Amino acid sequence: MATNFIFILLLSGILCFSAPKKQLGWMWHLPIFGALIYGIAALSDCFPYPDFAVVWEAMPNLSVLLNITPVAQTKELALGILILGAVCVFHNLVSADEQDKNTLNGLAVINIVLLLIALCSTNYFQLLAAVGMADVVVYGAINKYEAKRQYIYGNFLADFLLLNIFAIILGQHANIEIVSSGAYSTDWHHRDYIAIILLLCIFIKSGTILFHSAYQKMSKLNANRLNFILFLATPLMGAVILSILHDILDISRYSLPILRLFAVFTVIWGACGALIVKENHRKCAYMAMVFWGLYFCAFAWLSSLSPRSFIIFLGTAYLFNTALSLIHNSLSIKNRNSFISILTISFAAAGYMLAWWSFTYSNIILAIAGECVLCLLTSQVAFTIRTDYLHLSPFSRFWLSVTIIFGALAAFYFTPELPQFIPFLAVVAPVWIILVIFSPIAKVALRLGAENIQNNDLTTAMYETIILAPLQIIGRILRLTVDIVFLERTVISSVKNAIRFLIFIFRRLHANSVLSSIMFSLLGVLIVAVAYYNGVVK
Amino acid sequence: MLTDYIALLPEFVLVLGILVMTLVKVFRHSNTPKTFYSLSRVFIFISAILTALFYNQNVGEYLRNNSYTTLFKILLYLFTFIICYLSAKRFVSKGLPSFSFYIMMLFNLLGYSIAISSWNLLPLCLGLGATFLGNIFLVKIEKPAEEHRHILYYLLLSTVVVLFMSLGAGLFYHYSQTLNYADLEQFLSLRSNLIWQHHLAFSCIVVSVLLMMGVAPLHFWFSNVVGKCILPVAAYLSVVPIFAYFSCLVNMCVNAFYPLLGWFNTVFIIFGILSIFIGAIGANSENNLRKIFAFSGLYYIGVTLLALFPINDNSLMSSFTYLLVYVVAICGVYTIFYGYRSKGKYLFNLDDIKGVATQRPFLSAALLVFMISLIGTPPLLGFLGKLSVINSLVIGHRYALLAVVLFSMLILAYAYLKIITVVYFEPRSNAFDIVDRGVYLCMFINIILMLIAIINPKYLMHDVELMLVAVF
Amino acid sequence: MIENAEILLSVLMGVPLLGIFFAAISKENSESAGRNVLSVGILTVVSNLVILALIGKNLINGSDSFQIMKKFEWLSTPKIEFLFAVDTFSLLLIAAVHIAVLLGLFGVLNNTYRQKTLVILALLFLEMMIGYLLAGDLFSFYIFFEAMLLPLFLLVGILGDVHRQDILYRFFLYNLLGASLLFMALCILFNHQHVTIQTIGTVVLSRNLQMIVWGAIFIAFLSRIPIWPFHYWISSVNVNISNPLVFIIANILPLTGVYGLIRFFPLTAPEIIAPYLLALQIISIITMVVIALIGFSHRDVQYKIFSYMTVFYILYLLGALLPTDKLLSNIGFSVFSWLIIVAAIEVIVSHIEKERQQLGLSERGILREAKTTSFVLSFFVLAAVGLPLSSMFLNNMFIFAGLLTYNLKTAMFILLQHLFYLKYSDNEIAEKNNVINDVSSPIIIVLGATILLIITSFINPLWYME
Repeated sequence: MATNFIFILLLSGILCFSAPKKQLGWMWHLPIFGALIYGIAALSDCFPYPDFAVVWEAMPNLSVLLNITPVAQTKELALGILILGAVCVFHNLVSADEQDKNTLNGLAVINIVLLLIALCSTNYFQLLAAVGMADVVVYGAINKYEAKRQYIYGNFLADFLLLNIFAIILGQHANIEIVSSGAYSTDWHHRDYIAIILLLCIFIKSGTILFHSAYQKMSKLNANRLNFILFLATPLMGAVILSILHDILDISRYSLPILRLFAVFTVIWGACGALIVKENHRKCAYMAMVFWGLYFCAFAWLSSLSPRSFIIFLGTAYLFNTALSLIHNSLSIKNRNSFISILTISFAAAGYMLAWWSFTYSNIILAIAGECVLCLLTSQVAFTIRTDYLHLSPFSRFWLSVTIIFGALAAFYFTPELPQFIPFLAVVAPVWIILVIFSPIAKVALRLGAENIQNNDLTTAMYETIILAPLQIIGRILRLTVDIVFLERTVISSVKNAIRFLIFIFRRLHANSVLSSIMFSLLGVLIVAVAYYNGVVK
Repeated sequence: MLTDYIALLPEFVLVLGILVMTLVKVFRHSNTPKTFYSLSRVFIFISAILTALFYNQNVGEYLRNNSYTTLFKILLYLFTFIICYLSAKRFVSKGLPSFSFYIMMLFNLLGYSIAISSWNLLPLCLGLGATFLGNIFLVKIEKPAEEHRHILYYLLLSTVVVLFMSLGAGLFYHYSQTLNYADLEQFLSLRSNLIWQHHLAFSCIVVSVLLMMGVAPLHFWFSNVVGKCILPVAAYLSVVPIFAYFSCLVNMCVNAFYPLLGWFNTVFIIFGILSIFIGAIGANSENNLRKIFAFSGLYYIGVTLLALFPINDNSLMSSFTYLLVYVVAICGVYTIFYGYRSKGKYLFNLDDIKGVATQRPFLSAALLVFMISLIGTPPLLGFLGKLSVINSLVIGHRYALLAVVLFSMLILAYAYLKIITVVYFEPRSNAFDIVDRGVYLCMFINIILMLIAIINPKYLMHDVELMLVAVF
Repeated sequence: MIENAEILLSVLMGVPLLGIFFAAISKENSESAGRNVLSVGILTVVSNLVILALIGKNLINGSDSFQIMKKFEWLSTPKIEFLFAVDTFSLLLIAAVHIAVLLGLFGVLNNTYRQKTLVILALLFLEMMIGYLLAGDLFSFYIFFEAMLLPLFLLVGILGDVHRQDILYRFFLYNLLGASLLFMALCILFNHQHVTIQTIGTVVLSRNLQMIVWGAIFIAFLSRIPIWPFHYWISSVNVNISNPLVFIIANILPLTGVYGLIRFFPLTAPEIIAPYLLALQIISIITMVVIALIGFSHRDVQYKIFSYMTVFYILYLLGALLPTDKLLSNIGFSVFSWLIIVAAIEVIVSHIEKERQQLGLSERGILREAKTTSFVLSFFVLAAVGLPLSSMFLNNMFIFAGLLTYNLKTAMFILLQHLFYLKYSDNEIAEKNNVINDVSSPIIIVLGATILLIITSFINPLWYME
C-alpha cells in the first residue's frame, strides 16, 4: 500500500539517520532496502495500493488536502526516483570514502520521501513544504561549512521566490490548488513577474549558470555526498518543480527565451569547466551542470520529455559522475591530458547532437570505457594504469563494470536510432583515438589560462561586488546620515538644547532672590491688570 | 449662649495645647524632644475627634462647619500628625529641642482650622495671615546667625502679604460694610456696576492666597524656604498648608466672590500655565532634592488650578483628587527622606544619595513608587489624579491646556528620571545609616493606603464627592 | 470546559504577583548564587503556562471574538468598568511571551549579578504584559500600556549595560509621550461616546477631533515599533544589552505597539487618516529596508537580531493595517512561533558571546566543536527565516498574500528583508583551539522542548484545543 510505503520509507530513513554509528553498522540499512524494494514493487503494480490522502488542519480557517498518490504521469518518475535512490544508497554503503554512511543514507531516504511528496502535490502548501524541508535535509547532508553557507543562502532565496509566487496566486485566486494552464492565462496579473521568478527559483535550485557557485563549493565534500546532492537532491527538486508548475511558464512570452538562454550557457560553461579544471570533484560539479543544462535544453526545445528517458539519463549521469570520481582517482598524472582530450571531443560532439542528447552520455561512457582499454593496451603508462586498475577494490571494479554495462544498455535502449549514428561513429572514433594520443585541445586551453577563469568563483565575486558591497555601503551611509546626523545631531540635539536654554534662563531669573521677587511680583500684577483690562474694562 | 460656640471646641483644645506646652517649656526642665511630640499628638488627636464630632456646627456668622470643611480639617490633622510623628524621630536622634516646632504645629492647626471654617473675611485673614506670618518661627528653627537675612526676607514678604490681604478685606468692608461671605456675594451680584476698587480688593485677597500657595509667578519664596529649612519644616510646608489654602480659596470664590470670578479665570489659567512650566523647568534645574520636589509641587498646584477653574462640582472633584494624590505621594517622598541619612546627617543633595538602592532597596523602591505615582503612571494612585484632571479638561473641551499639561509632565518626568538614575544606576558613594522603624511603618502604611485606594476607589470617591459639594 | 472560567483570568494575573512576592522574600547567599529566585521565576512562568492551557481548553477554536470575560467596576463617576477578556489571538500572544520569558530565564541560569532584581522586574513586566493582552476596555488597555514601561526601564537601566544615560532617558520619555497621547485620545473617545475597543471604529467625531484622536493613537503605538523616526532610541538601547532576558523583554515591547494597532484599528480606516496611511506604509517599507541594510552591514550579532525583529514587526504591522480582519489569526499564529524562535536564538547567541569573551576567542569557526549548540542554532535560524519548521511558514505566506494583493511594489521590498546572514558561518578555516563549550544540559533540554514545540506549531499550534 502506498500509505505504508511512504511511512515505512520515512521511518526507515529516520531510523538510519539517528542510529548509533558504532553499533550494528550496515544493518541499519536493511529497513531502508526493504522499504525501497517494497515501494518499487508497489509502484511497479506488482500489487494494488489505495490512494493516500489526509486532511491537514493547517490553521483554524484552512484545511489542506495532503495527497501522496502518484498519478499515471508521476508514477514512472516516482518509480525511477526510487530505483535511483536504491542505487545511491547502495553506493554510499559500499563506498570506502564515506565515513558516516548511516547519517547520509538516512538523509538521502528522507529526501527521496520529500521528492515524492513534492511530486504528488496538488496544492501549493504541500509543494512548498516539501521543497523547504528538502532544503533543510540537504543542508544537514552537507558536512562542510563553506558549502553549507552558500547553499542555504541561495536556496532560502529560491524558497522565498516560490513563496512569493504562491502568495500572489493565493492573493488573486484565494485558492491553493495547482490548477491547469487554462486558468493562468486568462485573468492573471503580474504574469511576467511570476514566470521569471519561477524560472529564477528553478535555476537557483538546479545550479545553472550564475547560480552554480554553491555547487562548486561542494567540491570539498566527498564523492558520495557530492553526487547525491548534484543529482538526487536539490537540482532534482528543481526539475520536479518545473514539471509540476511548467504551465505557469506559458503565461509569459519571456519564459521560453530565458529558459533557452540559460540552458545553452549552462551547458557551455559547464563543459568548459569540466574540461579545464584539474580538481576532480569540481569536474563532477561541472558535469552535473552540463547535465541539468541539457535537461533544460530538452525542456525548452522538445515538445515532450518522457519520464522514463529522463530517469534513465539522470541515472546515467549519476553513474557517470560516480565513475568519473573513481577513475580519475586512479589515473596517473600523465594521462590526465588524454582524459581531458576525450572529454573535449565528447562535448564538442554533444554540441552537435543536442537533439539526440540521450546519445551524448552513451557516447561519453563509451569514451571512458575506450579510454580505459586504450590505456591498458599501451606501454609503461598503461602499465601503471593496469596496476592501479588491478589494485582497485573489488567493489570498485564491479562498479566500473556496472557503469560500462549501464552505458551500453542505455545505448542499446536507443537501438532503433542507433543505425543512424553508425556513420557518425565511424568518423568520430578515429578522431578520438588521434586526439587521445596527442591531446592538443587541452594543451591550448591550458596555455590560454582558461583555468584561472574557472578556478575563480566569478559569480560569487560578481554578487559580492555588484550587489552586496553597495548594499553594505548604503547601509553604513544611511546609518550615518539618517540616524546620526539627522536624528541625533539635529532633532534630538535641538530639543536638548532648548531645554538647556530654558534651564539657563530659569537659573538666571532665580539667581537673586530680592530682584526675582520684585520681578515676579510685578509680572503677577501685570497679568492681573491685563486680565482685568480685557475682562472688565473692554 | 455657650452652645453656639460649642463648635469651637476643637480650636479651644488647640489653644489649650499651646498653653500647656508653653507652661511645660517654662516650668519643666527635664524636657526631651519627645515631650512636646507626646503633648502635641494628644491635643491633635482630641481636636480631630471633636472636629469630626461637630462637623456641621456653625459658630455665629463667622465660622461655618459642614462636610466640606470637615474633610479638609481632618486631612490637615492627619497629615500634621504624620509629620509630627516622623519629625519626632529626627529631633530625638539629634537630641535637639522640639518646642518651637510642635508649638507651631498646634498654632498653625488653629489658624488653618479657623480659616477653613471661616464664613467671614475677618477670620480668614486672621487665620491665614497669622499662620503665614507665624511660619517665620518654623523657618528660623536651628538656623545659624548668618542665615538671618533669609529669615528677614521671609518676614518682610509675609508682612507684605498679610498687609495686602488686610487691604483687600478693608476695602471690601469700606464699600460693602460687611465681611460676611453671603452678604458679600449678595452685594457683589446685586450691583450692576462693580468699581475697580472691588476688583482690587478681590485681587488682593486672592493673589495673597495664591502667593501663600506658592503659585507662579509668586512662587519665588517657596523653594528657597523649603530648600534651606530643616527637614521637618520642609516636609510640613510641602504637605500640610496646601489643603488649607485650597479649601479657603474655593470657599471664598464660590460663596463670596463668585460674581467677580469671570475675568479672574484668565488669571488662574495663566498662573496655572506658568506654574506648570516653571515647576517643570525648575525641577530640572536643581540638585537639591527638596527644591526639586518644591518645584514639582509647583507643577501640581498649577495643574490643580487649571482643573479647578471655572469652578463646578466636576472640576472641584477632579482638582481635589489630583491635589490629594499629590499630597499623599509627596508625604511619602518626605517619609523616604527621613530614611536617607549618612553619619547622622540628613541628605538632601542628589550626589549624596548615589547608589542608595544597593543598601536600602525597600526605601528606594518606595521612593520609586511615590515618584512614579507623581508622574501619574498607572497602576499607582497618581493615575487616578491624572485621570480626574484630564477627564475634566476633556469635558471642558480645553485641549490646548491638556497639551500643555502633558508636555510639561514629560519635562518633569525627566527630573524624576535623574533621581531614579542616581538612586539605582550610579555606584554607591556613601554608607547610609540604619533607618528608624517608624519610617518604614509610615512608608508601608502610605503604600498600602495607595494600593487600596487605587484598586477600589469608587466608594472613597463617592463619599468625597458628597462632602465636597457641600461647599456649593 | 470549566465553569466560571473567568476565574482563570484572575489566577493568570495573580500568579506573577505571587511570584514577585516569593522572589522578594527568597534568601540568597554565595552558595545558592541566585538559583532560588530563579527557580521561583521559572515556577511562576510554568504555572502560568499551565493556566493558559486550561484557558485554551475553554476556548472555541476558530472564533475571533472575546470568549472568556471578566468585568470589574472601578469608578462610578466617571463610570469606568475594567474588562479583561481573552480570545485565540491574545491567548497565542500571551503564551508566546511566557515561553520567551521562560527561555530568557534559562538563559540567565549562570548569571549572578543582581539576579533577584532581574527576576522580580521580569515577573513584573510579565504581569503588565498579561494585563495588556487581556485588556478589553479602553482604560485597562492604557493602564497596562503605560505601566509596563517602569519595569522595563529599570531592567534596561540596571542590567542592560547601557552606559549613556541620555539613551535611557530617551527610551522612557519617548514611550511616556506615546502613552500620554494615547491617554488623551482615550479620554476624548470615552467622554464623547462611551466606546469599547471593538466599537472604536464607529465613533463619530468632528474632523479636527478625528485628526487629534487618530493621530495620537497612531503616534502612541508607533512610538513602540521601530519605525522611523522612533527606531533610533530602540536600536540605541538594544545594541548594548548583553543579558539575554533583558534583551528578550526589551524586544517584546514593540509587540505592544503592533497589538494595539491590531485592536484599535477599524476595518475601514477613517477617511481623515487614509492619506496618512499610505505615507505610513511607505515609511514602514523604507524603515524595513534601511534596518535590514544596516543589520546586514553591522558586525554585531545583537544588532542583526534586532534588525531581524524590526523587519518582522513591520511586516506584522503592515498586515494589521490592511483593510481585512482575515489575517488576524495568521498574524497571531506567526507571532507565536516567531517570538519563541527569536528568544531561543538570543539565548544561544548570548551563551556563545559570553563564552567567546571569557575565553578571548575570535568568531571564526567557533562552533566547530560545539555540535549541540551548532545544531540547535542552525535549527532556529532556519525556522526564523520561515522554512517549514514552524507556524511562521504558512501564516507568513498568508500575510504576504494579503500584502501582495493590495500592493505588489511595496510587498516586493519585503523580500529584501532576507538579505541578512549570520556571522558565525565564515568560510575561513578555523583556528585549531578557537572553540567554545556547548550550552549546559538544562538549557539543552529546554531548547529541545522548544524545538518540539516549534515543530508542533507547524502542524497545529493549538493542538490542545478541540
